[in-house]
Amino acid sequence: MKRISILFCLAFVLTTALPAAAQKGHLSLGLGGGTGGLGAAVAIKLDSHAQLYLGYGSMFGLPGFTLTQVSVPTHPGIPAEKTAVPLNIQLAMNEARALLYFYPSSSSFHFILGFHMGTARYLRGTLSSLPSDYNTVGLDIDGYLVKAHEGVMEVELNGPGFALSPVAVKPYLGIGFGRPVRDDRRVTCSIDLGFQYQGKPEWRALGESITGRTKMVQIPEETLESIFEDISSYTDWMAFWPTLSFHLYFKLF
Amino acid sequence: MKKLFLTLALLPLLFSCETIPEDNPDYPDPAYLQYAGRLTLNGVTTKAVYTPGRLVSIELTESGIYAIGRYADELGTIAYTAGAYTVSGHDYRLSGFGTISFNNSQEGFVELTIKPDEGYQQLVWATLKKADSSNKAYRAWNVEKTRVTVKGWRTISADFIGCDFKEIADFLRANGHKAPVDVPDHGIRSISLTGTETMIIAYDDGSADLNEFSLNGNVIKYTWSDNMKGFTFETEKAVISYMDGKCILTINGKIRDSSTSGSVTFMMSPYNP
Repeated sequence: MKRISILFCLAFVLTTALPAAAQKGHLSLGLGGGTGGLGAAVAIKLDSHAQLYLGYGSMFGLPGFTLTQVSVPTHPGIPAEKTAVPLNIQLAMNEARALLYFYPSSSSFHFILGFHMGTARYLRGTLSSLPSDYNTVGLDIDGYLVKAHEGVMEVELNGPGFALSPVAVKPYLGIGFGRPVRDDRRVTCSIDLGFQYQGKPEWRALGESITGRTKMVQIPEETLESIFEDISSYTDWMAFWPTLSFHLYFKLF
Repeated sequence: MKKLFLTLALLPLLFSCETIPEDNPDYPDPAYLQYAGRLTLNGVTTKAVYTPGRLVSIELTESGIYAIGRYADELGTIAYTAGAYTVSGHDYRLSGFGTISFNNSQEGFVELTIKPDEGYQQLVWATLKKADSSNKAYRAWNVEKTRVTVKGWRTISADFIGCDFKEIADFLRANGHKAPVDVPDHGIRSISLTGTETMIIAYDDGSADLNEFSLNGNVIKYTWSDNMKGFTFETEKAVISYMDGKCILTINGKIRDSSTSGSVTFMMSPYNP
């Protein structure tokens, strides 16, 4: 549903913007990467002070990093006995981007303002090799049981942005250098630095109702704190997610 | 340029919210609805007749399950057995017990003939209370799954197929909670909520527990008469709801002989004999 919405959103913008670009004759195709993942984009020159960036970025398939010694209780209900298990953390953005590049002067310095629209998820944590008790015992959150499957439990850190379900709309503000579309060059590049507003970050995991219905449920803060001390203080500052990206553009016409 | 900004501003409106349909399953009427009721044998509630083995009551449920109550001792403790019944005219064949005959056309005093498989035929007077059929919850339910949630250092839950007491007790002990020592080695076969406001919990070994209850909205208040089955809940209140075509019965409370509090949720489907 989310994927269809994102694609629909992209198609809607492109069908509106592309005819204008074709009329003016300034459009570039860009490929790039950064802390928001790998992505592709089209850039449209609106006038000498403004360019429109429409793109898609995803962290899909990119490796994360693994903490090898995360301590968890051997039996979920007893704190005394502990077992060390690995925790793999991956960035997990998957979103469309609509940004306006504003050039205050004739230089390549620009301000960026716009939105990232896509999944609320931006971090995925996977605990593996959990003791067998975790396959049967879990947390009941609003009637949904969150537990491990074959020793593996996934949790997500979500940023709702403006909380427009089912697609998270996250405002983006940044600065950068480079013009995606230049009249005098076929190939250009741009480096951008900014931040996404994620809203209040929340941890979610897949829960299963007693009837077998599944749903991503929000893990209450006090529950998280009982597992990982002070985790809220770490996640709270992630409301503003810094991004750094680099794009290479090829002018199509 | 203005069109582009307008387009961007309107984008969020394109996304609609996902809705989950409310569950309100329409179950077919139970097969024995017209025969359901409770027979209370007259003159058996005084101390003088607390004869072990003496019949006290017969509950006939909407779903073809019966429960017979007999005095278990001279103190007036009643023990129940449950099974399936079939009907032919005025004759009710109670599997594992025998046959009873009476006219169930109206409530009140009825002449009841009891022909046990073993023993003598008796003719007694009984009071018949016919079952109310106004609520779809009034039927027998198969317990397909049980979710147990216990509060402790951390509140944890686990799902069990069916409802096996030993399995649940093992879960409690493995996670640092006390469980009653007299947990029986069997589970729940069915839970009946009858239109006479009797809750019958039938066990795998043929025994049963009967409790009276009242249903107000989706809240069940019951009185627990069990003295032997371990998991007695001190809060005599349960909540009934429906989800994905299943009946969900949640009992919150504290387990007897234990400091453990929590809840037990049964996922149930209409009983199929």
